[in-house]
Amino acid sequence: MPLLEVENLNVRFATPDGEVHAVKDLSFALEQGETLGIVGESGSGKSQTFMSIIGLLASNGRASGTARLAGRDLLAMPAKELRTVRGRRVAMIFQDPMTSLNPYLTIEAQMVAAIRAHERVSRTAARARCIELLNAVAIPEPAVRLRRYPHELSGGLRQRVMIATSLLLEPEVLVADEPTTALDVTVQAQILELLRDLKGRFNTAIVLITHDLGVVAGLADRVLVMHRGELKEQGAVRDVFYKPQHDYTRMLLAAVPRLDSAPPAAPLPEQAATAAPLIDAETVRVHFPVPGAGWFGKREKLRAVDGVDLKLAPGETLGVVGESGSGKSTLARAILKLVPTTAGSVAVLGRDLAALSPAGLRAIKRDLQVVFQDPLAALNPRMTVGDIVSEPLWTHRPELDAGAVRAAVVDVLRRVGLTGRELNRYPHEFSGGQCQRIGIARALVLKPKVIVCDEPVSALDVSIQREIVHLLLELRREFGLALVFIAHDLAVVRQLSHRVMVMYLGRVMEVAGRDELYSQPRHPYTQALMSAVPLPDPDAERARGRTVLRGELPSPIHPPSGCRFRTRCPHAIERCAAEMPVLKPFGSTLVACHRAEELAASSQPPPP
Amino acid sequence: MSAAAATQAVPEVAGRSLWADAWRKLKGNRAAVVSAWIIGAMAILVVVGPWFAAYAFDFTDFANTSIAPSWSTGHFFGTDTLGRDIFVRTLIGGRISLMVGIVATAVSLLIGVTYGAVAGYFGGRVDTLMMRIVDILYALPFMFFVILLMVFFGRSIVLIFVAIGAINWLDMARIVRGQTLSLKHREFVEAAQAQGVEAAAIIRRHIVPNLLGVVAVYVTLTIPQVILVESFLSFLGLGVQEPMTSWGALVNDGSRELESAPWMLIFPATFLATTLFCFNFLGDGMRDALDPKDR
Repeated sequence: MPLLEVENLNVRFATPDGEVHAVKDLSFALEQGETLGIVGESGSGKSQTFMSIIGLLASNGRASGTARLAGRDLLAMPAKELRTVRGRRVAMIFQDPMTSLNPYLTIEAQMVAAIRAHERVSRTAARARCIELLNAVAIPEPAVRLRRYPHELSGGLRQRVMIATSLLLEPEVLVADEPTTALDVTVQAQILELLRDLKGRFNTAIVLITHDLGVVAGLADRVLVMHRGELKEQGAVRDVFYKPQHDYTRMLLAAVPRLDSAPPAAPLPEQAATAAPLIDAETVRVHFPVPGAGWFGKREKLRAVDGVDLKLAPGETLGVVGESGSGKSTLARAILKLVPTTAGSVAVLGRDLAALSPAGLRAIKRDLQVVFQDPLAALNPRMTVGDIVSEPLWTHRPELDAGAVRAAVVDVLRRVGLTGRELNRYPHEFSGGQCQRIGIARALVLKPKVIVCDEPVSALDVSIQREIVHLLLELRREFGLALVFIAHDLAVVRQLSHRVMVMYLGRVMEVAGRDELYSQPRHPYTQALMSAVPLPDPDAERARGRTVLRGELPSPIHPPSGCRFRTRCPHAIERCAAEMPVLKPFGSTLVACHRAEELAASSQPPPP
Repeated sequence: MSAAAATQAVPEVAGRSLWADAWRKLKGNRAAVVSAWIIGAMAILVVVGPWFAAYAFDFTDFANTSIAPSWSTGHFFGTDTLGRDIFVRTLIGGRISLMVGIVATAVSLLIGVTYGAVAGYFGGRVDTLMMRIVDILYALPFMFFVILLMVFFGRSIVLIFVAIGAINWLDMARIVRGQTLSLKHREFVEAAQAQGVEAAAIIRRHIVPNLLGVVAVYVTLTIPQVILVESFLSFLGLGVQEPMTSWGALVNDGSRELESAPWMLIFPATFLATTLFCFNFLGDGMRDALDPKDR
């Protein structure tokens, strides 16, 4: 008998706009000790499935069908009894470990409460169990960490605490809902490694709910593919990945950008090599003042960007990659002059931004536009789409009359794949992908020379991601745009860029042509970053050896001396702490590493 | 873009703005809708009512001093100790009270929103300077301020507007500044900055429309508060000058005659309480309707 058997599960939500049927006739089984991956894009009902099973649906939701845990139907169970199941027999880990932990309680208080809610044990015994589990999830100094508050731990450690808490009572089922989505890729690799390890040690069935096919490929035994509340396909992980039966699965697999392959790069326009650069930033530093510790503490500096050079040729796409805290978004904001630079210079179209008058700066901005990460947040909710896209024209082309503005707006909306009939509607009426198209239309309406894209696709589903990337490729070809494409996703960057710059803690680690970088990463950080990205390919993902980085990004207020990466670098030597490496040419790439030649000579790391 | 909409070539799809959404939600809130109707009816009554009343508000009916409500004399709400008709005085008092509420709130709205948005948006030294001025004004004791004004300029209704407005915009400015601070780092504001839109246009197009929700709620809660302050001033004898009156002044008069002529208190107090009640209900309903988390 399967451990959990779900039959004809239906979940419906009553909303002011009518009923939403979130999960439709879902049936599946979960065996003891098995790892089941549930994959789907947003709105597929993958999370609501388990929320309904453990009785945590929003108040306007209703579930029908059966979900038998070892023979007992959870959906028919009275609330009081269900509470004894929740946490004890079925445990859940959520996406954001910060919001799942109570900020006013210590880790110990929360973990002990979790045990004592279900078992009558002494505090000392409960505490001992907590330490044991924190050890199991590889948290250093567990006894010390127990007394800490959630905000004193990093994101990765918090997620480990969540996992430890959920395992305290040795549940039969552990439901992990997007457990690594809020984490950086190197930290994600650590958590996935941990889950893989725990899977072997505890006899717990794991349900892994995620949008990331790579995560599923490395961890799951079986996979369910969901789309709009329906189960599209289920099967063993290798069957689903290598012999997908359903069109949707095939589409999903094709949409995932692959780190290990990419379409050939579009050729650079010929004049690119010789023409003056559109953007020429030299040793840009952006430091933010932060209050020091204590009442009279000295003000300290957060070095978000600390000496970065960036050049962008006409028609070129420069990818900027890095984890959160690497300074890539701050760099973009410095180029756009949204934050003041502390030192260094930024020249756009040959004019130094610092020396320009407000009017001159405005004139430059006509050729320098931006697309932001969160498509909905980047659009003013109180303005119509027509007004949003018209605004750059009002600012820069005041001579145009209302009819001409309108014509230009309709034109550009059609160009980005919308109908042009959206003018009177408001942003919240559109999906994320459509909102991003509106954002691109706004950036494009002035026909600029450069668009800075700050994580333009990371908030979108993979299938939408692909559409937006293709749109950007098309627009680049048609308008000869130069792009600065900022992303944390190495695979997406690979699809678009001519050159890629890798950043870590405010410094550039490596700059290389796209193909050189992906085939032969020279910097240890680049190598680790690539090795951390999960591949949507079960065999390759399970077979490859990886260098999992220890720890997490150090504080940019007190960066390590010498090489910024040395505290996590597997190849660090004494010299790395003493001397900050500068970007040096190595072959056709630029690398900031003292040991680049040496490492390249001794062991060629296998390409991912 | 109505001019452009007139010359349309493509069929338009009507949009559903956030305001329309909030309006729909507000209409679903029965308490708020009933309150809005009562406030509307009250406003019409106090404006139109006195024209049709049998007595003028300052007419003294010596034959009928301190009489109880009766149909036969035409004093529906009775008369006060001077023989003045309570019915018409309540309506006239309502005019003053509502007017003080609305005008003073409008003044504080105009000053507060502009001041707060400018301080919040520009930040830095501008913000520090502007908010310190607010802090200093806050430190002025209100009653002292009012008494000082009265001593210098004599009692007048305009002074009450000035006094209440001068104090009330401080709260508004603080609220608006706080909202602006959180709005100015939102991506759509950054997008406008990146486009090179001028600061005044950003405040006008992007900041102010997005904080109007909070402001609207605050306004509906400020109006009753201001009415109450005026009542308090009148109660202390610092309000409107006789024979002109307001709800606060009427309640004050009525409370002195509570034992001999309770109708002098009951009617104006009921009007005052009902209005305050309705404004609070409406404010509550608006807060729910405009709450972005619920969407």
